[in-house]
Amino acid sequence: MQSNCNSSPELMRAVALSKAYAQRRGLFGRGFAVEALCGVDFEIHRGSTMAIVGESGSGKSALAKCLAGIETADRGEIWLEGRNLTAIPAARRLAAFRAVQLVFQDSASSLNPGFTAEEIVAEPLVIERWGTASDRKLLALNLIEQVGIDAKSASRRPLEFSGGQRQRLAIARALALQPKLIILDEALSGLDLLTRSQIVDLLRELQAQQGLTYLHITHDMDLARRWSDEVVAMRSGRIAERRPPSLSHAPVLEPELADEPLPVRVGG
Amino acid sequence: MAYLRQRLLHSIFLLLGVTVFSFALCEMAPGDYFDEMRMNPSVSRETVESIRQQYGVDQPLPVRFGRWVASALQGEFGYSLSYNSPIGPLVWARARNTLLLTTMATLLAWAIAVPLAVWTAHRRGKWEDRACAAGTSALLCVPDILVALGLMLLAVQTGWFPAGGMVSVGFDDLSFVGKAKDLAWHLVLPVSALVLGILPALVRHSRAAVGEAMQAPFVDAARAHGIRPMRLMFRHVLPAAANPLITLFGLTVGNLLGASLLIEVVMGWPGLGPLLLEAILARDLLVVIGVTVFSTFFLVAGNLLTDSLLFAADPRIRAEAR
Repeated sequence: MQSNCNSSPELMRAVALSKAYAQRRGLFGRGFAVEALCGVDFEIHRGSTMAIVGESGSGKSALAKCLAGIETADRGEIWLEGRNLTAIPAARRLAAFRAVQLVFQDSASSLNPGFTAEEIVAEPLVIERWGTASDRKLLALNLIEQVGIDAKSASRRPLEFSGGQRQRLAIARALALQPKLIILDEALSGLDLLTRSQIVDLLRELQAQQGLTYLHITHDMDLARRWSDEVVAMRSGRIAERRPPSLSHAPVLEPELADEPLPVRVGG
Repeated sequence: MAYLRQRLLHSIFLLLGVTVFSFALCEMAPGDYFDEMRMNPSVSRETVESIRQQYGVDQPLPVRFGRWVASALQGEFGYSLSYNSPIGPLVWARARNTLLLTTMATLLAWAIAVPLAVWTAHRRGKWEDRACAAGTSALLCVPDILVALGLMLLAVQTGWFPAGGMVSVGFDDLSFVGKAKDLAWHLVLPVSALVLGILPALVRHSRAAVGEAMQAPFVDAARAHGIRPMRLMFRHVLPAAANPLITLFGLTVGNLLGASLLIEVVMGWPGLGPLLLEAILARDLLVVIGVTVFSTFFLVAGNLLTDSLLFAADPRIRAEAR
C-alpha cells in the first residue's frame, strides 16, 4: 500500500496525552489510579489509515475514547485541523469532537437494540438537529444503501441483522455526521474472514470517495500490516514503536507487545 | 398478542391452582370454627351439629369446593361465620385499603429509587454513590417489623402522626379536601414503613441497571455524536435499563403485598392483614381462602401488568413472540 503518512496534510495531532482511571477496592478501600495513557504523542494525516496494535490493557481503547471526546484526557492536547479541541470548554467540547466518530467491536451492543436501523443511522442527525424528519429519513436510507444494506430492511432492529450487516450499520451511523476521522475500535474483530474483507473493501471505497481518515485499533498484526499506512505499537499506555507496515514484521514488533503489569500508583 | 394471550392463560391456571391448594391446605389444618363452641359446656353437641349442617360444613370436601366455586362466581366467595356475612364484599372493602396503601408505597418507592439510581450512577465511585450504597446496605439489614415499631415510637413520642387506624373520628363530617388530608395524614407512617422496607433493594437494583446501561457501547456512540445529557438518559439509558426494572416492578408488587400484611397488623391499618390474622385465629377458613385468593389475584394481575409492560418496552420480546 502506498504510504500517505507524510504526503498529505496533518488531520489530528495528540500531544503528551495522559489518562488515569481512579479505582477503589471495596467500600472503604483505598483509592488507586491505573494509568491508561502516559504521554502519548502522534499525528495522523488526512486520508491515511493508521493501525494501532497492542495487547489488552495497553491503552488502545482509552486512546480511542479520548480522541473521540467520550473521555477527557487528564493532561495533554488534541489538535484537529489546527484547532486545539482540549482547550474548548467542557459544555461545547463534544460538539467539537463530532468530526471524530467511533465504530466499536461488538456490533450487537454498540447499536441500541430498541431502535430500528433507520432510527440508528438517523439518531446522530436528530442529536445534531439536522434538517426535517423527512430529510433525516432520506439521508439515513441513503447511508444505509451506501454501506450495502437494502433500504427495505430499514425498519428491522439490530438483532435481526447478521454481525457483518450490523457493522455496516455502525459505519453508516458514523458517516451520518460527515466525519473526518473514523476510529475503528477492534471493529473488524469477531467477523469471519469473508465478511471482514468485504467491510475492509467498503471502508477503502468510502475512503476513496470521501477522503476519510481511519485509526484502526486492532489485535490483528496481519490485518494491520495489510491495511494501513503506518503501524503504531502501544505498550503500557505508551507508544512503543511506529513504522510503515512493510517493516512491521512479526518477529520485530510482536515480542515487545508481551503483557507487562500496568503501572499502578497507590493513593490519589 | 399470542404472547399476552399465553400469559393470561398462565395467570388463570395459576389462580385456579392457588384456589385448589389453599382449599386443600385449609382442609388439612387442624380445627375449625366450631371447636371453641364445642368446648363451651353451655352449648349442646346437637346445637353445634345442627349449625354445622346449616352451613354445610359437614359435607365432603369436593361438594364444599363445588359450592364455594359457585358462590365465588357470584362474587360471594362463601359465607363468613365470624362476620356473619358473605366474604366477597367483606374482603373487597379491606382489599381496597390494602391496595391504597401498597399503591402509594409502590409509587413513592419508585419515585425515589429511580432518580436516586440515576444520580448515583452519574456520580459513580464518588462519595455520594458510596454513601448511598452504605445507607441502603444498612437499611437492608433492618427487619421491616423493627422499622414499623420505630416509626410507631416516633408517632407516639412526638404526636406528629396518628399512631394507628386509617381515618380520624368524625371523618364523615369532613369536606372532600379535609377527608383527603386526613387520609394522607394516616397514610404517612404505614407508607413510610413499607417504602423503607422495599427501597434498599429497589435502589440497588436500579443503580446496577442504570450503571450497566450507561456503560453500554451504544451509549458511548451516542456520546460521540454530541448527545445532550437529558436525551441520552431518556432515549438510550433508561429504555436500556427498563427491562430489569420492569421485572423488578413485578416482584415489588408481590413483596409489598406480603410486607403490607405485617405492617397493617402492627400499625392498625384496616386492610387484608388484620382480617387474615383474625380469620386464622378464629379458624374462619373460608375468609382465609378468600384473602389468599384476592392476594393471589393482585399478584397475578401485577405479573400480567409486568409482562405487558415488558412486551411494550422490549422489541426483542415482541420479535420473539411473532
